[in-house]
Amino acid sequence: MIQPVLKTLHCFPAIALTLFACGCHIPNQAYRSGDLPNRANAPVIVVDTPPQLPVSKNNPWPRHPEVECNQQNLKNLLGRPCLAFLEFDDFGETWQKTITGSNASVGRPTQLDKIVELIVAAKKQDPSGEPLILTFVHGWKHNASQGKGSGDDDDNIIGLESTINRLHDPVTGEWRGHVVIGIYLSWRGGLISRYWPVSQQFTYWNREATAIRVGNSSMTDALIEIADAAKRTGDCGSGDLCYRSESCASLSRPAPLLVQPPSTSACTPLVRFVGHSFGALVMERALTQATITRMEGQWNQQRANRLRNSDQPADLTPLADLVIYVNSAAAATESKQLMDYLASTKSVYQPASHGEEKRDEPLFLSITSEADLATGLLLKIGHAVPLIGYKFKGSMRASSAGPVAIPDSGQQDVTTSTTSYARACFEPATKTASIKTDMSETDYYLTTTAHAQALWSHTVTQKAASRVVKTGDPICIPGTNPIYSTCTIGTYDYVISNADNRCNGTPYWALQVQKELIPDHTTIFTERLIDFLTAFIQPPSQEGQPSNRPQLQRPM
Amino acid sequence: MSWMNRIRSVSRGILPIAALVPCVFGCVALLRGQAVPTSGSQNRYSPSSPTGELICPGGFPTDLTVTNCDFTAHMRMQQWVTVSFTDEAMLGAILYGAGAQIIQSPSEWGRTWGGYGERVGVRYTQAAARGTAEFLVGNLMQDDPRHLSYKDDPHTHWGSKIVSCNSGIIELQNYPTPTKIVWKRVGHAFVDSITVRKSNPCGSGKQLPAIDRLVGVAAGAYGGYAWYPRAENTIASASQRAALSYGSTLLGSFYTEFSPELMTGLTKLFTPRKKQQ
Repeated sequence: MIQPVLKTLHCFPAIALTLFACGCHIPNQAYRSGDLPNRANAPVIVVDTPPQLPVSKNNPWPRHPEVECNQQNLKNLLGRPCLAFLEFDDFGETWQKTITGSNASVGRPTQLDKIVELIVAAKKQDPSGEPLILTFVHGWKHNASQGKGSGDDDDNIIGLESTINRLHDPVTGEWRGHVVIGIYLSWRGGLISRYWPVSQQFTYWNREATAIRVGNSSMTDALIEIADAAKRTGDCGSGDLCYRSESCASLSRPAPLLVQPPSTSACTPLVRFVGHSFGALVMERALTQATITRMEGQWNQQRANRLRNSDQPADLTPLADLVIYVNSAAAATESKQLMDYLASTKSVYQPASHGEEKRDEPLFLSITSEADLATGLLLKIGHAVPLIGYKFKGSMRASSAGPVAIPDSGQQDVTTSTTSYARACFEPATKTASIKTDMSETDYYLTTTAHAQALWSHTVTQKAASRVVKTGDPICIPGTNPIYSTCTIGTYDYVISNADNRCNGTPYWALQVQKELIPDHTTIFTERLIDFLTAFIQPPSQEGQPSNRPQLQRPM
Repeated sequence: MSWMNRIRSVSRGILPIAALVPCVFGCVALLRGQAVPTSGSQNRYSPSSPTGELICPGGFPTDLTVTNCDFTAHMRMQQWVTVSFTDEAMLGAILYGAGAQIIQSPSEWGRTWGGYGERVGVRYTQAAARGTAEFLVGNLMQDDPRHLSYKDDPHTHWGSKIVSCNSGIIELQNYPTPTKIVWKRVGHAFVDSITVRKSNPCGSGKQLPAIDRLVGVAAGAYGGYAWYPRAENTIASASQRAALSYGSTLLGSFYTEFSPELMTGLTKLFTPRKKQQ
C-alpha cells in the first residue's frame, strides 16, 4: 500500500528531507564567547549609535562588526552604553568557564565575570552612583546570535539595544545623564530554523521544558550575582564620578549584605529584571526560590536582632528593584506559590519616605496584552496535552464546591484550616488577609497570571486623552487610591487602578493591557510600552532630594 | 459520486468569474490612481531622537526594532523557501491533496494511497513552481508582496500615513475613519490580492500590478503538466488550477483585512472571566 506512495513522492520529499536534515536545526552553541579573530563575537559590546531612520537597505542597523566594550570603552559608559551577554546551554549551565587567570576567576563563568566588571564600571561612572541595569531574558525562538552581517542580529538584541538607546537618549531619555547598561541572558530559545515555520511551532513543548531547566541554579546564581554586584557598597573610590555624590561617599564602606541590609539609597543602581514569554518562565523559575530564601533569611536575622517588643517591620532587600514579566508564557501555577507567600507574610513594597499616605509599588509586575493570543489561547492548547496526563494521574486538585466556612465572630481567634485548593489574599490598605477557593489547579495551569482576571491586582482602562504631553512633561501622573497612575500615551489615557474586590494586593502585580499598548505577543520593544512602564519605574533621584524608592517590608 | 461531480462542475463555472472580479476591481483602483493627500493635520517629527518614529505599513507605531520597511532579500529568500520547499509547502500539499482526494480530482486518479500520493506530489510541485516564479519575478521587480489591510495601506486615506520620508524627517498625515468602511475594506482585499508595492525604506512605495503573483499562479498551474493525466492538461483545466491557486492568495488578503476582528472574537472567547465566590 505504501509502495505507490513512495514511488510517486520519490523526488520532492527526498529533497525536503535532505533540506530538513541539513539546515533546520539551530545548533546548541554559545554565540558570544569572544574566540573569533578580532573578538568579533565579544561577550560585551558597545551599543551602536542610534541610526537616522529609515536606514538604507545597504546599510542596516546595528552595524557590524560590533565594537567590543573593552577597557577603553568601559571608561566611557556615560557616553555610550554597553550590552553584555551571558549564555546558558540546553540544560541551564553557563557555556563559558575561565581556565587561566587569577585564582579567583579560574572555574568561574567568564561571561558573568565580565558582567560584574561592567556593573562596577557603571556604578563608578554614573554621576550619582545610580545607573540603570537592565537585565533581559528572551523567549521562544530567540538566542544571542549576531547573524552574518549588519542588522542580522536576533530581533530581541536589536530591541534591547534600541531600548537602551531610547532610555539613554540625551534629549528625551528618562535616564539621560546617567549610565545605562544592558545584560542579555540567553538560552537556546529556538530549536528549528525559521525556514521551517510549521515544525518550529511544534517545538513548543520541548522549549517549554528547556525553559524550566534553564531557570535553575546557574541562572539563579547569575541573577543573584548581578543584583549583589549592583547593590553592594564600597565600589566607589576617590576619583570616581559617583564618589563626588555625598550619599555615595558615605556608603562607600563595605557592609555584609545579610547582616544589615543597606537602606534604599539614591546611591544604588536601579536593577530591573525583564523576562519575555518563555524568558519570563525562565526568570520566574530562577527567582522565586531565591526571593523567598532571601526574604526569610533577612527577616529572621532582623527578628533575632530587634529590640525587645519592637513591632517595627523588617526592611528587606529584594534582588531587583522591579521584575517585569511581559507576555509571560508561564502558567499561573508558577507564580501562585510566591503570591501566596507574599500575601501570607503581609509583605508590602512602599516608598521609605514618611508623612504622606504610602503608595504601594510593584516588586513583580506581570503584564500581558489582551491581544496576546500566544499566551491567551495557544498556551491553553499547549497545556491541554500534558493536562490529560495530570488529570489521568489525579495530580490536579479541584476547587472547593463552595466558599470555605469562616468561623463566627466570637471564634475569630480559633485557628481553622482547609485542605481545599485555596489562595491567600491580602489587602495592604486595610491590612486584612483572607483566602479564596474560586480557582482550581487546572484553572491555574491553563492560563497565565496576567490573563487570569481573578489574579489581577490592577486594571487598566483606556479613554480618550485628557491632555497633550509635550517634551519634558511626565507621561504618567500618580493618582490617589484606588487610582495608581494615569498615563497619556498616543491618543489615549490609561488609568491604572486597583482591581475591584481583588484578592491580590501583594507586591506581585498582575494586569492586562489594551492592544494599543502591546499589539501582540512579540512586539514588546516599543516606545508606548516603555512610556507605560514609567508609571512603575521610579525615575533617577534628583541631586539633594531624598530617595523615593520603595522598600520591601514584612511585619514582625 | 454525483455530488462531487456537481462540486467540480460548479467550481468550473465559478472560478473564472472569481478570477475576473478582482481584476476589474484592481484595474479600477489603478486607473483611479492614488493622490498625495493634501488635507488633514500634519505631524513633523524631529530627527533628534530618530528611533521609533518610522511606522511601516501594518507595523505598530513606535516599534523600536524597525529601522527600515523594505522587503529585504533575506525576507524574499525566506518566503521563497517556506512557500516552495519546506514544511509549509509540504503541509499545503498534504491538506489540499486530501481535499482533492475527497472530491476525487482528477477523476483519473483513484481514491487510493497511490492516488493520494499523486495529488500531494502535484501540489508540492505546483507550490515549488509558483514560489520560484514569484521569487524570480519579485526579485526583478524589487516589489513588496506582503498583504496589507485597508487601514495599513500607505495609499488609502485612513489612519496615519507617511507623506514624505527623507533625511530622517518623517512627515505623517492623519485621516479620520472614512464612511462605508466595510465595502471599502472588502474592495481593498480584492485589490490587494492583485497588487503589490515597490519595496521602499519608508514602506510608501508605488502600487504596482502583482506581475510576480500572476506569473507565479501561471507557473503553478502549468507546473503540474508533467504529473497530471493528459485529459487534465488543457488550457481550461490549467486556468481552473490557476484560479484555485489565486483563491488562496485572495483568502490570505481577506484574512489580513479582517484578522483584527477575528482575533478580537477569539480573544473574547478564550479570556477567562472572574468567577464569583
